[in-house]
Order: sequence, then structure tokens, then C-alpha cells
Amino acid sequence: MNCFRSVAAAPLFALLAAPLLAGCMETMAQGMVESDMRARSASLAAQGNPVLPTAEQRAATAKFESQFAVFGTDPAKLELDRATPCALAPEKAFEMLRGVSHAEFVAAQRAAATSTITMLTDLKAVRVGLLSGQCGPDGPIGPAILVGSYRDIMRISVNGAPHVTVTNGVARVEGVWINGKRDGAFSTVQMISSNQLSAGQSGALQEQVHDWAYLNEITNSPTAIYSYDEFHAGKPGRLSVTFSRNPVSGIYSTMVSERLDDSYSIMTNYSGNRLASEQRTKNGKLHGWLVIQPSVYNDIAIPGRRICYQNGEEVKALDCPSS
Amino acid sequence: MIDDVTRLLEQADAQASAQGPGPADGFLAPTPAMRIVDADYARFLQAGIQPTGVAVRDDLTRPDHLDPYFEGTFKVVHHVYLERKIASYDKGVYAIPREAAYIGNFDYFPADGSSYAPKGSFVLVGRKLLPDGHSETGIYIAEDAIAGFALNFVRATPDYLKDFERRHTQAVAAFERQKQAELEEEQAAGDLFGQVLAMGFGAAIIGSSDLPSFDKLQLGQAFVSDVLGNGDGTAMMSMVTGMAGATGGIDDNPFTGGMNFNAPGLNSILQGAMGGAGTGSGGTTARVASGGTAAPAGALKQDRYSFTCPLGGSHTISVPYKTQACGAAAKDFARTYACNLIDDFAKVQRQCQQACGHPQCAE
Repeated sequence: MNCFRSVAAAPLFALLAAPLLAGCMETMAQGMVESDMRARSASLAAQGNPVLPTAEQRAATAKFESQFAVFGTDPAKLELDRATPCALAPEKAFEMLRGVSHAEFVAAQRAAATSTITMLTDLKAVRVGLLSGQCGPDGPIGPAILVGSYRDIMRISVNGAPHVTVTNGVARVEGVWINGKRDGAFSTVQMISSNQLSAGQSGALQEQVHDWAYLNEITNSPTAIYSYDEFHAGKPGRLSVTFSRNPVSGIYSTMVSERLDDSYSIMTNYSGNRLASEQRTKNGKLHGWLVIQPSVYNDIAIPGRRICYQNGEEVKALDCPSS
Repeated sequence: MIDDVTRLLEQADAQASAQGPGPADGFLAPTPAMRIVDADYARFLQAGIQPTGVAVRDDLTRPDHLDPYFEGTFKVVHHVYLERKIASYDKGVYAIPREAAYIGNFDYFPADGSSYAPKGSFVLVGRKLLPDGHSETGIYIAEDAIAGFALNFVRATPDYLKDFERRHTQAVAAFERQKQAELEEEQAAGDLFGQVLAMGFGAAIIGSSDLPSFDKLQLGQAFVSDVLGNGDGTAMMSMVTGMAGATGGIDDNPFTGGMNFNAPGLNSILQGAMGGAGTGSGGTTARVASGGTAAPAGALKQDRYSFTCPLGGSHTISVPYKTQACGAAAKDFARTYACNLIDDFAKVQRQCQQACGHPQCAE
């Protein structure tokens, strides 16, 4: 619709013009937001990847850059359909694909659930196969490239009305499995995209389609997540570097996670090539300062801030030990 | 895909129903129907008639029947930025159904905001209760809350409270200066920034709270040791400890069963929580300095002393003393520091020095 021509054509119908104008204002505002977001995304893309502080971390960046050149953000390039199916029990297939047991994953989902949030994973949607290597009863044997798909569901109830996000993921996992456990260096490329469902007039869930096309584009565009980790007999190692990219929604984040010992970790996050935040954890819970660096959004300076956590709980404090 | 998702969600709901209500489901839920309305507040401000019912605050993420609410007594607070009096929480419970309850004494600190939606911060000295029965004594702060909307209480350390006091005082002083400049008055207010703020406010909040003595001592000791370091807080500590021993007889103390709540199940929860002094105290605020500085209670006399601060907030405290002269100076000292009347800090310290031989009225 041409807003200005339509409004100009309705001067005799003032009552009609008012809502039309309101609609136009909304469209114009949406256009401005979309334009800003696309410009921000382009700006982050132009920054390139961050220069990480250690040689080991920079090696992960180099690996990411070579893999991203091949797979980009296209799930089809992970070649799930070309994989040789691996006949595993669903729970075992889930563990091989996601690096965590189904029972642990479900327990974590339940722990994070509240009276208004339900989180589930659809075991029936799990499908795995091999692009290279050999599959045994406990999963891949030795070096292999495993690909598979999964589906997670999250329902948020707002005043009793369900809003459901269905996340469909395709993953390509490359590494060495010994006795059904990950061992050594692993690279994982995941592409996730989501569908949003809400209750229709009948109460049944139906796909939510926004009037604003850009929102639909963001919802449906895949986010590519490239992770480089170490494992020792199935247990995570010291360093993990993850790169997330989605040019449509402007995700250009890089996260470096270093385990200091069995209890403590440090996570450093970058947006584009700039340091965005740093946080520390103790036994998996935030512990110490969460430091958010100053940033600029649409030429508006957003000041940095820091939030203290102790064993996962936010605390207002001036000193915030991380030990 | 939609069919699979619907099936899984239905299965999860059926599983949850089969398990029956969890321990959290009935915790202070649902939000009581008897709600305080604007007319109740007006009656309170005009005639001092305490509102009855619950003051519901809107939480956009929750259904109405699980909105958080305050139940208890109210006090009049002067909102310096709005230049009018408002009703604020005094003693009682801030309940977040199925999640947590914050019980104790509330103080309100106005912040600059819209006249339609008064903004300010709440400081609570009291206990946080959880549905699993865990309770924790501490200082909690909900900053920059907007009237009518949910409060986000976060545990605060004593040093943070001290810093909050400093920032609040500076903001109020800056606002007052701006107002004065606008009125083209000749009063010089610039001195306020140059003064060193001394501890006083936090100790008074802790001391005048209705917490049981043991909890109050823990908080007071943590406050003095965290904020002042060794040696400086003797007088304040004796003020806190003096107050700690003198609150058992207050009729509307939420911790002694003196208050009767409509919040579902709260009366029995409180009884359970108060089974033992110091139950479940933990976290930063329970870091107790070893070798507390409490003065021997038998050597001191004690007076109940009530006062209202010029910027709002009423306190009733116990002032320990040995001589009448020192007691009078100590009352002035406590009021001045509790109300943060920084222009008078030097004066009351001189009075204490003269009457008690100590700048903080320690005898």
C-alpha cells in the first residue's frame, strides 16, 4: 500500500483517514526499525570476527572461518538427507547428537521450568546418521561425522494463553567416539530455526504469522551455531569456543568458555569483533561480577554495567567475590 | 509438526495434573480478593485510617490471580520529587504467590519520575521465605519501582545499602538545589556534596525492624563490620543491640504473631519459620563478625524513643545509656543519623563528646 497516496485520497472521510493514518504510522515505524536492524546487522558483519587472546582460541576462529565458508547458515549443506542412518535407541541417538544424556537434558529443562513456562524435547523427532565413520550399538566408533535433527519446545503462558516456540535443529558433529563417549577435539555445526504457535479461535495451536513480514523472516531464518570443544571420556574439557551467526536478526556473537577447574569457569562474549560481556560461574551458576561493556545502538550510547551474582542469585553489593 | 507438539504438551500437562499440586502451588496463592483501592489510601492520608486488604501490584508475566501483593500496615512518606505525601508500606509481607515472601519492615526512598506513577526504591529488613520452607534473614532492596507494578527484591549487602544511601542523599540534594535555583532563592546548598556521609541510616533501619533479636544482632554486626571496619561502629552497634533486645513486646510485630494475615497460609508459615531464632540465616548479610561489640546489657538503662524524619519515615528505637545526659545526647545522635541530617552530624558528635566522652555516645 502506498501510505501517502491512500491517505491523500481520503480527505473527505476524516473518520476513515484516522485509522488509515495510524496504520501508515505503524508501517513507517516498522520500516524504520527494520532498516535500523538490517543496518546494525550489516555493521556487525563488516566488523569480522573478534581477535581472541590466545593462540588456542585463535585456532578455533580459523577452524570456524574455514567451516563457515563451507556451510554458512544453510541447513541443507549439513547433508542430513545424505547420511547413512545409524540404528540407535532414541535416547542413545539423542545423546550422540547433543552430547548430553536425554535424562540430564530433561532434568535441566524441568529445573528451568516455572508455573508459566514448560520446556520439552521431542524424542520422536531425533534422527541421526553418519556422513563418515562406523556406527555401533553405542553410537559412532572412532572418528566419525554424525549428522542429525532434533526438536525442542517451549511454551510460555501469558494470562493463560499459550505461546509456543518450536525450535528445529540440524547438527553436524565431527570427532572421535570411544566406547560411546566423545573423546578429544570436537566441532559441532548446528542450524536452528523456529516456528511460533499460538491458540487459534478454537483453542487449538496454530502457526503464528505476523502482519509484519520482517518478524516472520527473523523467526524463520536459521541461526548457525559453530562450536569447538574438547572432551575427555565424555566429559567437557577446558576450552569451548562458540560462534553464532544469523545475518537476518543480526546475531554475530562469539562466546569463549574456559573451565578453570571442576567448579569454576569464565565466559567471555563478543558481539561482532568487540568485547560484549564477561561472566564467571561456580558449579554452573553465575558467581562474581557479570560485566556488560558499554555499547552503541543506533548512535545511542548504552553505558556499561555490572551485576553481582553469588551462587546464581543476584546480590546488590560493592564487592563481589568470584571464589 | 503442530500435532506432535500439541500431543507432547498435552502429555506434559496430564503428567503434571496426575502428580497433583506441588508444594509451591498453594504458597501464598491465590492473590486475595480483598484489595485496597484508591479511596482507602485517600482515607489513610487524610484521616490516618489504616487500609485493610491487600495492595496488589501488577506483574505482566503473571495471571491476575497470581499477582504479587503487600499485606500489612502503611505509613505516610513524603515524596520529595512529587512534593506530596504518599502511603507506603511499613510492616508486613510482600508476597509473590508460589515463589517467595518478604516479611519485615519496609522503607521507601523516593526517586525522580513521573507524577502519574511515583517512582522509588524499597528497602526491606526482614526475612525471605521460600515455598520449600527455606528462610533467609537479610536486607533486600527493590530499586526504582514504579507505583502499582511488581517489585523485584534483590538481596543487598550492608556496604551496598550504605552506597545506596549516599546516592539517594546526593540525588535528593541535587533535586533540592535545582528547585532552589528555580525559585531564585539565595540559600547555598552546595555544601551538601562536600560533607562526608557517616553511617547511621542502615543501623537505624536494622535496629528499628521487628526482626527477632538474634537476627537483628547478626545483621547489625554484619553492617558495622562491613561498613565501618574495626573500631568505628561501637556506638552504632550498641544502638542496634540495644534495639535488638527491646522489640519483643510490640503488638504488631509480624514475627511474633502480633499480625494476622489474610495471605493464604501465611500465618502458619510464619509460625513455622519462627520456630527457632536464626533459622536458615545465610548469605552475605549473615556474615557475622566474630566477637560482637554488644555492650553488657545489665550495665545500661534503656529508653524507647520515637521520632519522625523530616523527609518521612517513623522509627521507634531503644536507646541504651548510663547517664541521663548521655541518653539525651544519644537520642539526638540516633535521630540525626537515622534521618541522615548531615548538616547536624558535627553538632550531635560534639554533644556526644561532651555528655558521654565519646563522639558516638558510647559509654
